[in-house]
Order: sequence, then C-alpha cells, then structure tokens
Amino acid sequence: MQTTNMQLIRNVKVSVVLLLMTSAVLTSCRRTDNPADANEQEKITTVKLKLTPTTGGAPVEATWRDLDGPGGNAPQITALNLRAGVTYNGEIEFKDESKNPPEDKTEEIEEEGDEHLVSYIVGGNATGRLTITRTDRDKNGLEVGLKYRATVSAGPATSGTLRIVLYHYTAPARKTSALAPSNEIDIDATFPVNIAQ
Amino acid sequence: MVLLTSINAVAQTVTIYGTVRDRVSGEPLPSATVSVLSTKIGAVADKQGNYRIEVLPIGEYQIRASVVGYEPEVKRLTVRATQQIDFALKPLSVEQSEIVVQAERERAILQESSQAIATLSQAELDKHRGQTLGETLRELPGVTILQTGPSISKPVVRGMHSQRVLVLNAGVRQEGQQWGAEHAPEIDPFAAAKIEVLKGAASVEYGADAIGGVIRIEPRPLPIDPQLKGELNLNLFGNNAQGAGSGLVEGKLGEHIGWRVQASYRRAGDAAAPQYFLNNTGFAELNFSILTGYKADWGEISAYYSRFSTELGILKSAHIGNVTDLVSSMQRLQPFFIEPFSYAIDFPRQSISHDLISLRANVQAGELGKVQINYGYQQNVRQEFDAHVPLGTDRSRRNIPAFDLTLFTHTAEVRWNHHPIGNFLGTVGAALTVQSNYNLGRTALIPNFSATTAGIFWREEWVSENWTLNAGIRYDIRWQSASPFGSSRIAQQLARGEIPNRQTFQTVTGALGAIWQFASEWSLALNAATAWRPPSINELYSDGVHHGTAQYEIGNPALGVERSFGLDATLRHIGQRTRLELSLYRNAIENFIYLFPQVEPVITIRGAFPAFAYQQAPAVLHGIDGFFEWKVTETLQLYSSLSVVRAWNEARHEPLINMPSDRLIAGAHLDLPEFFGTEKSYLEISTTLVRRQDQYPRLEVPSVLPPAVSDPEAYQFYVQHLTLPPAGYGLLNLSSGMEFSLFGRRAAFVISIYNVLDQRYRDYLSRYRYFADDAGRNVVIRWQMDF
Repeated sequence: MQTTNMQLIRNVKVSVVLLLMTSAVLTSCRRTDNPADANEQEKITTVKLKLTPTTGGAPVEATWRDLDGPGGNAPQITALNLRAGVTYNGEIEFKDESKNPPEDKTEEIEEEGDEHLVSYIVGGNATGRLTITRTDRDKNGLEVGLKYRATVSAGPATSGTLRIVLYHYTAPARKTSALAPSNEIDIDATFPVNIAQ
Repeated sequence: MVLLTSINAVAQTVTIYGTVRDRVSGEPLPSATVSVLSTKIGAVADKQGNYRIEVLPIGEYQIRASVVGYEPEVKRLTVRATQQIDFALKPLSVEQSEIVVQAERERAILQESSQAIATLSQAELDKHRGQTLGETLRELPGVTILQTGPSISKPVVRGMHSQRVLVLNAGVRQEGQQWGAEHAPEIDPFAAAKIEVLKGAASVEYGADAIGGVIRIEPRPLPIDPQLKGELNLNLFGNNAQGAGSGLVEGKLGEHIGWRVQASYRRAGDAAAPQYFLNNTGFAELNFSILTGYKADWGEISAYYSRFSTELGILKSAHIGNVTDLVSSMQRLQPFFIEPFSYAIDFPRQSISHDLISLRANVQAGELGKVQINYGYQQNVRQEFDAHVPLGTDRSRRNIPAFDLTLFTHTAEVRWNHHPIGNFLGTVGAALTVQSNYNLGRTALIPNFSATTAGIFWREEWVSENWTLNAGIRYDIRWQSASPFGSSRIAQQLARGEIPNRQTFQTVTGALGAIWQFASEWSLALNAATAWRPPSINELYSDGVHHGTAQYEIGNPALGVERSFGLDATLRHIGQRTRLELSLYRNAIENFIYLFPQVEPVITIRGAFPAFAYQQAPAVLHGIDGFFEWKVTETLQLYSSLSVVRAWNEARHEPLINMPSDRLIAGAHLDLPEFFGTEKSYLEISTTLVRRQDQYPRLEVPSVLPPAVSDPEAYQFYVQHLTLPPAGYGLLNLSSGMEFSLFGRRAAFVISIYNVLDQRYRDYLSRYRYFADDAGRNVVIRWQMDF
C-alpha cells in the first residue's frame, strides 16, 4: 500500500515536471508568418524650398529628394540660388514622392504646429549674409517655421549651406517660448546655397 | 590501420579486480580510487573496499590505488588474463595527506589541456553572482569585455568576440543573434556551476566559429544527495540600485532520478557615472531552468530546459539622430540628458528571450567505450524598439518593434569516446545544426535566412606519464540561403538575383597539441590549430541603420570564408606556494571580417549617419596573457593577471580597430582569523590598470569634403575622433567576506566595492564612450544561504 502511494506521488511529480517543460515550450512558440508591417520607410522623401522675392518676380526653388530612402542611391539635391540684397518670403514643403500620387505632409505638420519647429541654420560663407526669420505661429503663439522671411545682405557673390532641421516635440518634451531644440529630429537636410551679385 | 588494430585489441580484453585495505588495521578502504596510469581508466572501490575494472586490453600496466589520507601505491605488471590485484595502503599523517591530495590536483591541472584554458569554479562564480556573463569573466587573463552600458556585455577572448567566440551552454552551441556588438549572450550566470574559457582556435572539436575561443558553461550536475536541498542568493548593487536573487531546489525521486528547479531575477535602474546618472540603462531579467535526469550504472540521461528573458534600456543620450548630434556629443563633457534616477525602461529598448531545451545521454557502451548524444533546441527572440518613428507615423507605432527577429536552431551531436587502445584515447564525432531566422519588425537590417551545417571529426590523444600528445581533424559543410526582407538596396539586389542568395562553404580543419610535464611542478603545452567561420548573414547583407546606436551598417555580399591558423604555447607551474600560467600566442587570420567606419557618412533626409562597412583583410593577432599567484604566508596571497593583444591589418598596414587595451590586474588576499563562529573570513584589495589603446587605425579627412557637409569643422572633428581611443585608467576594488552557520545551515556574506575611488573613465570597448562616462563606484552585497 505504502509503496503504491509512493509510486503514485513519484509519477505525479514526474508528470508535473514534464508538464511544466511542455507548457513553457508551447507558450513560447512564436508565429513566423504575417509580419506586422514590414519595411516601414521614412514617410518623407522630399523637402522643397520656395522663395519669392518681396519685390515680385519669379520664385526661386530648391529641392532635396531621396526617393529610395536611406542608403541606396544618393539623394538628389539642387542648390538654392539667391541674389544679394534681396529679401524673400519663403515656404517649405515636405512630401512623400515615393507614393503615386505624391503625398503632401506639410499640412499634417501645420496641424500639429505646436509639436514641431523648423530650424534654419546658415553655414559656410553664407553665414552672416543670409538671415532667416520664422513668420508663422502655432496655436500657442510660438513660431513654427513653415513660413519665413529670408534676407540676403548686399555684398560680393559667395556660397555656403543652409541646414534645415525639423524638430518634433512629444510628451514629456514640450515646445516652449525658448524654442530649444528637441532630441527627436524628423528631418535634417542640408542645401548648398549660392549668392549671386 | 589504427582502427584495424584497435578492433583486435578490443577483442582480447581482461578484467582486474581486488580489494584496497589499510595496511595497518586491515580495514577495507571504501571510495579508494584505482586507476590504470596513462589511460584515464579507473574505478572507485565500494563499501567493502572492492573495485573492479573491466575490459582492459592485454598489456603491461601501472595500476595505482589512492585514497585521501593514505600514501598511493603503484603496481607495475603485465595483465594477460583476468586477475586479482589487492592493495594495502600506508596511512599518512594529516599534513602529509593534504600534500598528496594537492599533488593529485596539480597533476590534473598541469596536464589538462594543450590549449590555454581558464576556469571559474563554483566558488569563484559565487563572487560574481548577480553580474552578466561578460562581467563574470572579465578578470580572467586574456578575457575582456565589449560593453554597451551596465546591462549588455560581451566577452572578448584575445581580441575576438561575437561570432568568433563560441558559447557552449549545457553542451549546446548557444545560437542567439550574436552579430550585433550590443547583443549580449543570453546566459543566466546564476545557473552555471562551472565556466571554462578555452582560448584560441578550437574548430576541430567545436566546429565553425571557434576562432577566438570557446566558453563552456556547465549547469550543476544531477544531485547525488537524496535529501531535498536548496540554495538562496540575494545580491544588492548600490550603483544602479539593482536587486538580484536566485534560488534553487533539488532532490531525488527514488534512487535514480534527480531533479533541480532554479530561477533568478535581476532588476536595475539607471546606472550612476561619478557625476550623473546614465538615464535609461535599467533592466529587468527573469530566468529559470529545470533539470531532470536518470543516472544508473550504464550511464546518464538528462533533460534540461532553460529560459532567459530580459528587457533593457539603451542610454537615452546615445540615441543620437545623426553625425551632427554625434559630433556635439563627442565635444560635450556631459551627456545630452541628465535626469534623476529612475527604474523606468523607456525607448530605445530591447526585449530578448531565449529558450533552450537540451537532451543529453551519456552511455557506457561496454567494450566500445562511451557514447554521448546531445540534442538542443533553441528559440531566440530579439526585439528592438526604436525611439524614432518616421514623420507622419502614429507615435504608438513605437510599441511595434523596429527589429523583431526570431532564430530557431536545432543542434544534434554524437560523440563516441572509444575505449583506450594502448595509450590512445580518442573521440569520433558528428554534429548537425539547422537554423532559420525570421523578421517580423517594422524595418529590416538583415534578410530572413536558413542555414544547415554538418561536420564530422576525429581526435586522438596519446597519454604517457610525462607527455600528452593530441591530433585532430574535422570536415564541415555549410549551406545557407537568404531571402530578402525590406527594401534596402541589398534586399532589392537579392530579390532581383543580382547577388547570390545561396552559398555553400566547405572546409577541413586540424589541430596538433602536446603537453610535456618536464618537472614535477611544471608543464609546457604547445598547440597548433586551424579554425574557420563562414561570413554571417549580417556581414553579407546588412543594409540599414542599427537602432539605438544610429550606425548605418553596410554588408558585403562578396565576403569569403574566414580561416585562422593559431599557434600557442602555455607554461604552467603549480608549486607549494606559487602558481603560474603564461601563454604566448599568434593567430593569423585569412579574410578577417571587420566593421570599419567610413569617412563619408550616409546622407539621409534625417541627416548624415555614421557609416560602417564590412571589410575583409588578412590579419595577425598575437599576444600574451597569464596569471601569477604567490602565497607569501599562510594567510596572505598576492595575485596578478595580464592580458595583452596586438592586432595588425596586413592589407592596410595599420592596427585593427576595436582591440582591447592592455590590462593588468594585481591584488592581495588576506585570510582573517576565525571570530564569533565565522569561517573563511577574508579581506581582498585589487586594482585594475588599463593602458590607453595606442594601437588604432587613424582616419584621414578627405581633401574634398562629401556633399552637403554643412559644418566642415564639425566634420573634421568627426573624422579625427571616430576611432580615437579614450585615456587609460586604473580602478581600485575592495572585497571582504565570511561564512558562518545560521540555524545549522551554511551562510555566506560578501561585501565588495568596485571602483572605490569613484574614478571617471571611459573604456575603449565601451559602446557609450562617445556619449557618457562608464559607471562609477558600486557597493555590492552578496548573501548566500543553503537550506
């Protein structure tokens, strides 16, 4: 009687161990079909600048375009050709041209203006010659930078760079009146700038 | 020819048996060991002092009987038929017997391996409980670590890591996603009873990848004691407010079945550098394992299941956008983010799990010898969550992993240790590995792939009193195929068939070794071995940003097989008061694959990313490592260990990148007298000195700047500093421990302080060195108790 009981207890113990092992293995098996959504690319391929002289005349355009996303083919970048002593009203557009038809993302950024800031950083010999000030405001009255004024001072012909950074503020980070950069960068694209006489 | 004679020899076998007794009293000596010298065959006497050694080929032998407390006796005789051989051993005084036991151990260590080998025993592992595998091994000579913060550390053996160091866990090749520098081996060191690091090439026995070395991790053996027993470990780490604990319970069901259940948990918050917290470096790790086995005269079968799971954060300040951020980070004295301490694990983070099932059988097949069969199943899941989602994407998509890779691996191995033939001991084996990897994430860095590797090997060892010679040969074949995932350039080329997606690699490797015990306390081991490694999937096909580190990695589909030819010499000494092991080595590697920073970054719409490309070149690594221990008095012991590697890129005529700095560890261990019932109390002080790495490749700023460089000064800084090693450093550590009896059970208490002076430093092989200092002072309390 005693031995049967012992054996029963033993068998139960063995089965518990086996059961534990099996269940651990089964629950941890993973499905390998149907990937969630493979190949999420950056949704923006193109940054386009459009600057219209305040005195009127044809607008100046420059584009930064990388249709196949990071890596692969190098981006195509056209220079921003400005004239000395001219002031421009500028716009910036963000597009996804990998789609057909291309999608315009500028409006989305405008709607979430309080979460975004476009920063314009002039570099090289254009430093000091080209000044950019943001002219639009979000719902909290803080600058956004989708619209801006570009002033080119009079002087000799030169060239430099214009770096455009689109910052994204997400909780807990918030855009404040100090307009400090956020660590979340959505866009960081640099254009060559030529200033003609 | 050798095989033929062996069959003949096995056919004519005899048995020897007898009794081992005390020469003075005539009492039988249970558990005396009777061994046939220079064969490694032996038997243990039963309670009546009787022993029996079966199936010995006819021949001349030296038969030795020994037991603790008695002088060993050796009988030289020719055995022709089954024969009784009795022993009567002379008792020793207490002091003498200790010396004999010591001598037995010395012999074993002196002649252990013709390769350099470093072992961490259970007691030494206890000193590192609660730490990662890498941190546990870092004090061994020749071993350093590649670290990504406090939670991720990879062991580096003689300058080699990742796919060049094979980890063998419970007899199974660990197959994780070892290709990333911030992918640590998925091992719970709490579960290990013994860890051995075999340094240098070892492909003959272990197959592909064992170029730098092999880390063998053995869980505790099946319990012998029928009593239900347990052990509890509790650790507290002051630096990152880490709590760690592990517990195990073991016992037996009846006479033959043993079992053990073990679990461990570690939870840590932000680590602390001397001046600030390293935000988002916390982790939570939960592991458990179950072992059960059946042990009988004919051998042993066992089943082992273990699960490792961890969730860990990546330093917030290391999540940089692009080169501009990297440059400003390098120029800053402090990281971007300095926030108060927190246990939170935020983006970017990793979530990893590893399941292992190991089934092992170890069967004594009578005259044939011993057969070992291992089967392993592993499922490795690696999910990496990025802090960034593309513009215009819902932020909640951050909860979908950017990378989600699952690797399934089956391994099977059969080994036959043939019965000794004359002085020859040998093993013939075959191994098979089948694996497949799947992507499930939002983005891809590597394609899906499957691979099959098969190998056969034969190894013989010739053992005599003072010499051990060994030779081995192996053939391996590997088929691998990749199917594109994602839309990177390489993925597209794969899809269009422009680059091969199927590859077959075949190779033959060999090894020769010798150990010569040229004096009673000294031996010299020489080893020559070849090893190989096929280019891995990431090296061939990577194309994308490695998350959390903002590093754009570019694979090279044209890479060939990496082969190494290693030579090493090890001098071992075990004396009354001194121990020494010193190895010199040279490892020449054909087609060495390495990731090298590119002067020209990859320009994306999110900015320029630091680009790294996989390259291949002949390389030579040589170095020296070893340790020296000196028992100055009965209570004071001094020790030191040294690791030096020099690695040269033969094609570019420059040092190889990311090789460990020279380091020296020196310390003193003082045994304290017993007081208030405590035992084994000690005080230990040690220092780790790390020299600045001055052997590194320098990058040249190109005369024509890449397009769209907005800040030439920042760009120049970037190029000049990308490969520049940080300064050397020295750290001071203190430790004190004791054992005592609590409620009739053994308990141990240890307090250690690492980096006592709270020194600021950045290690060359720390992946965070561009962003933040390494962690500062760490006060650790360890409590262990048996029940």
